[in-house]
Amino acid sequence: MQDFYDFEQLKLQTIFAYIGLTYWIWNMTTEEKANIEAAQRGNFAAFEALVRKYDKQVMQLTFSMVRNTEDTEDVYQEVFLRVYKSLGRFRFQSEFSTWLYRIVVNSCINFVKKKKRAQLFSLDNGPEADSENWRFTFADKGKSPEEWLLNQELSQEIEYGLEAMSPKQKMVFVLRHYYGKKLKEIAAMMDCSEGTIKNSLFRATQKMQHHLRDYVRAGA
Amino acid sequence: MRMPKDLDKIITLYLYDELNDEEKHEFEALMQQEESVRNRMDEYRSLHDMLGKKSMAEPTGLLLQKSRLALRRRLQTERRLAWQESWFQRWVSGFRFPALRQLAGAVVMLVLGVFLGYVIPENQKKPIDSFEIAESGDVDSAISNVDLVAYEPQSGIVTVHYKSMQDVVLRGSIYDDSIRRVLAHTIRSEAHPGHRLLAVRAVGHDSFSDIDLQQALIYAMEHDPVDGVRLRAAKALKQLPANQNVQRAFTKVLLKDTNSAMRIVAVEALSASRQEDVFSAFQSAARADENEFVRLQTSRVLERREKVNSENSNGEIK
Repeated sequence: MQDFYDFEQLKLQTIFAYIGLTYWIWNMTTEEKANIEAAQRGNFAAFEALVRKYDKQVMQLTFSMVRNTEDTEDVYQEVFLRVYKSLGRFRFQSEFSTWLYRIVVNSCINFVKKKKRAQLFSLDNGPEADSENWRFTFADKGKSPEEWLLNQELSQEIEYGLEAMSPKQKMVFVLRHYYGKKLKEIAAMMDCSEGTIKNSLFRATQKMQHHLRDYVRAGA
Repeated sequence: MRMPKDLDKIITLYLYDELNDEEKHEFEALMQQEESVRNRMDEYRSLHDMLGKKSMAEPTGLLLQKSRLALRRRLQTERRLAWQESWFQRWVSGFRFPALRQLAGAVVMLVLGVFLGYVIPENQKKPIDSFEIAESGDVDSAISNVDLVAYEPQSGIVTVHYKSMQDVVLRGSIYDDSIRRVLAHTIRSEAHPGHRLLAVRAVGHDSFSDIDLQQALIYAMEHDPVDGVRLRAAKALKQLPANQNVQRAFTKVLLKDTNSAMRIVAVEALSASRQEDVFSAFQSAARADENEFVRLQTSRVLERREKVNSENSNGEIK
């Protein structure tokens, strides 16, 4: 009897949790839609609410691409300015986040290409150089100083591995690996076929593996 | 089972869960059979684990706040610019019909044209003292009085001295020096009496104190062979304020000019004079001028003068 009761209670809890989650998602979606529509009508506060919701992710993604705080701030501004100007043309045919990421992706790739052409892009100016504005976290902090040092080295090698990728490969890699976006979604953001995105991800992984080969062999 | 060529790619996609169900089952079957595939898989899994240790850099709250503030400022500027732009567009599109828009444009252009037409000629008005050469016959100039022809055989250079005459039309104010010089020259030297008469008339239209022109008028009054020119010059000089030169010239006319009309004008011009020369001339004319009207007029002037003199002397005695 007791077992039966527990099972029923668990079932009820699951149902309520499911309802709660659904309501939360529905609420978030409708709130976002309301904000978009209000911003389209010129409501500045609604637009700022959208900015507050997404700007941290935009900044992170931008930083992973341009690797410099000042440039990140420039691209951040450019992205939201473009969003502000073209929000009126958003017709809810895709997720707002997908539409927004498309703008971020294009802005970042264009910026990196332009900067590389100007040969101003430098490895010395890596993200570790700006700990005032960024928090760099490593899941395994290491129990001993040796482990900590090893993690630092590994972190640096990952940075070099990212640096070795083309802007497009890096974007695909970051979006898939760190943001967990599906390749189909990334293809829509980057306006490419899924096959092209698969190839980019594979090449990016190969480059990363090449940089981390010693660590990989040791780990494997 | 055959080893696929793109094994690394399949492993990558498998780890990212990007293979479809069929590909996934096929790959898992291969992995169970082939140890080399499992080893390769372990390497990739190890890579994934390592990458998973490092998370993305997170912006600090301060950086986010700073960026949001900068964005807000920029968007506010954008909004202001957009509002100004849309205001103008609204204003233009307020004219719904093309005909109305064209009409408004035409009205604006008309007002602008009237304004410019009013302002520009005002600014471009020439000063009254200026003149312009309206026409000049540079090409058809006449050559006369050629002399000093010299030829240097060594260099082949010829030197010629001559007078060049050309048609010039001068147009300008009567107060312009160039115009006055030409008029004075015309009054003194022009052969055609009609031109001299017109020049005297032009000069006589206004009172001015140009010595050269006065001299030219005096010359015309005394010496011009045509009565009409002399008479017009006399009338012109009569308008001017009296001075010694003019009075002397009128005295001369009174005594010597053969034309009685000239002498009458001279009497009129000199009637107010108190100079002794003039008094003598009046006495002479009153006695001996062949024209009765001149004699009568001069006598009246003399009588009037005597009367005034006697009144003055009586007043002094009293």
